[in-house]
Amino acid sequence: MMDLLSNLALGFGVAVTPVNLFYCLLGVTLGTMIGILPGIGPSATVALLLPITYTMPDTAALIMLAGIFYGAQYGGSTTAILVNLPGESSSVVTCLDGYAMARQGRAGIALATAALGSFFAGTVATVLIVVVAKPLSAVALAFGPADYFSLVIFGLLFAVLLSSGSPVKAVGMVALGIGLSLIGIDPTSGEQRFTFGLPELFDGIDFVVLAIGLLGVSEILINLQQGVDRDNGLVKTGSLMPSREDFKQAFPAVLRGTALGSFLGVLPGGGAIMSSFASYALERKIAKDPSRFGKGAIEGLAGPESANNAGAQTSFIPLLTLGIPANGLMALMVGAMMIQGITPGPEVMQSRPDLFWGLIASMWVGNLLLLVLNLPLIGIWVRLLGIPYRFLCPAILMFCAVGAYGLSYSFVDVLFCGLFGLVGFFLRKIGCEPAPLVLGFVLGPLLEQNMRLSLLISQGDFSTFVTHPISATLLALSAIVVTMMAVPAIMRRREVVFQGDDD
Amino acid sequence: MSENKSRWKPTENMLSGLFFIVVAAGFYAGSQNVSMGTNFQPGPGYMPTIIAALTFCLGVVLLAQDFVAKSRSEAFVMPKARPFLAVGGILGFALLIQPAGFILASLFLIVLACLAYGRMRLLDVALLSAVLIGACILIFVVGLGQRIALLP
Repeated sequence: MMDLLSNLALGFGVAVTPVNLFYCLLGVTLGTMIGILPGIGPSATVALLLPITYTMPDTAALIMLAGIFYGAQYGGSTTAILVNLPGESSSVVTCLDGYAMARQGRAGIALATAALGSFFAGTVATVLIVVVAKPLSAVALAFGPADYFSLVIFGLLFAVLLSSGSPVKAVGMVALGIGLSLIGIDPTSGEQRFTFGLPELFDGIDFVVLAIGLLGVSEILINLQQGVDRDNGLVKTGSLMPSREDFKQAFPAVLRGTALGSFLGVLPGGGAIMSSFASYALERKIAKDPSRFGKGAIEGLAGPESANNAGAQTSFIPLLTLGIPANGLMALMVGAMMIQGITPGPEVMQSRPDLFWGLIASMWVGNLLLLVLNLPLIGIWVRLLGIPYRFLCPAILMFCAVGAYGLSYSFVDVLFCGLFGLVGFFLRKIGCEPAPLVLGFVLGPLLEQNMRLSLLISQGDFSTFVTHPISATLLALSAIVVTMMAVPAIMRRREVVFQGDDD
Repeated sequence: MSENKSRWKPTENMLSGLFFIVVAAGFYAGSQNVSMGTNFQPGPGYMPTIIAALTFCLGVVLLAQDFVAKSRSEAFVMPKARPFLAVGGILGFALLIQPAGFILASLFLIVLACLAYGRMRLLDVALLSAVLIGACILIFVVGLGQRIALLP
């Protein structure tokens, strides 16, 4: 216990030095400003702003990036609520009831609920990180390649379980994502794979390009197809702060969302993306009147928003203790750490305690700054509601294109971005959600490298995956996940047969 | 199967099944150029082959679901053509940005995006282009210091 407190003291000592506090504030502000641009989610924001941090001291760089991340996440929720445009798949759920609330003139309340819920969730998740980080990293040191392999398998399967729609298609999407991640020069043998001799493909496809195309561009295509008419002129603004009644409805949802998000965030492959979906499903399931959902139910906003933020925080746990990025964003953080000469993993806590605990303390500070910054701004954001979609659509496409180009000034990246937009659109049309694909893409290299390494160590003996206790446990859990997927699939088919057609 | 296409309505599952089988074929073909390795020392072709096998099986399952099961998944709705102009805009932007510079490339993208949306006045398009291009230059070139050439 004393140990924890002294660690925290060390962390806060690092986080509240004027320099680091300044970078944290700068990160949160920049993150919010860029994240609020429609079509640019947290990943794209972090990717865009990454170059700024190259020359900064390592602790400050990571603190600022973390600040950018929270800022962007909150900015993304703002856009989701105001204009029904999710910047990232995790804010898709925010759109459902958040946008409905905005249309009823309760945009201010929705924004305030999101901010307060996120802050609460962020605080709880920070405490959780402090408590579990040390024991978990002790476990992490015992992880061998076979264990990592099974961990990734487990994470990917869990992601499939939580995704909406057909599990068969979701597994297919994960597999496709893994396949796409193999493009480029194989780091073990140096041979080219699927590059068609194009030098642009030697380093593989950039994650941000893939994500902007599959999620951002395809989203616009879907919106244009549906002929969404959002030019209904100004929406009433109404009261800005939630009433006591709103609080009463939202608070239990915030608690549940925080718990769910904190848990799911720890799982590699789960992360923030799945936690908001899971929380929405939970709220809807336990609500007395599920029909209110999608029509501006405050629980449907408060739960997922808290889950999202809690998950975003706790997804730092696998990164900091195991060195495994839980999602694409954490993969960017890995990149940032490598640039600073730090290899993420269990050793960081021992070798760089100031950086480790400073980063954790700055998470809470960042959340606080975010709240202070955003509550007064809500009035301004709400006024942005007046912008019609016919202006937004070209603007978003523009930001997608510039974002993809700015990564490495390669026009091929922009071409790929457009192509992935098309692919993402058709995938959605045939009922395949692109989010699992993105996860497979991120975790693919980790899966392959650890599989090859463990087979090499075990001299080609596949039993290595079940004789290592950690690996065996994870595979057993994976088997449970598969069963959980198979059972409702069989049940659902029965239901469909009885009902004729659903939806 | 192509002759009676007019009567044969493709469903979501059939198309995704076909899609996965095509993907599997692609990964399989691609992995032929690199060495498969052995179980003892898996080569660069090892994982792609597994992926190909897995996606192939999933594709077959999806096809089977709709051909064998009594209930079919939802029919595929043919998308409208007009919105794809937006993708054309992005591809055009990509091809124009290096030879023609940022301003012209952006103009092309914005005009095509507006066409994709449909029913927009010329004045709106002009105003929007001016504001967007100005804002992007301010944010990305001035603010973030990205090295993007503005003119040819």
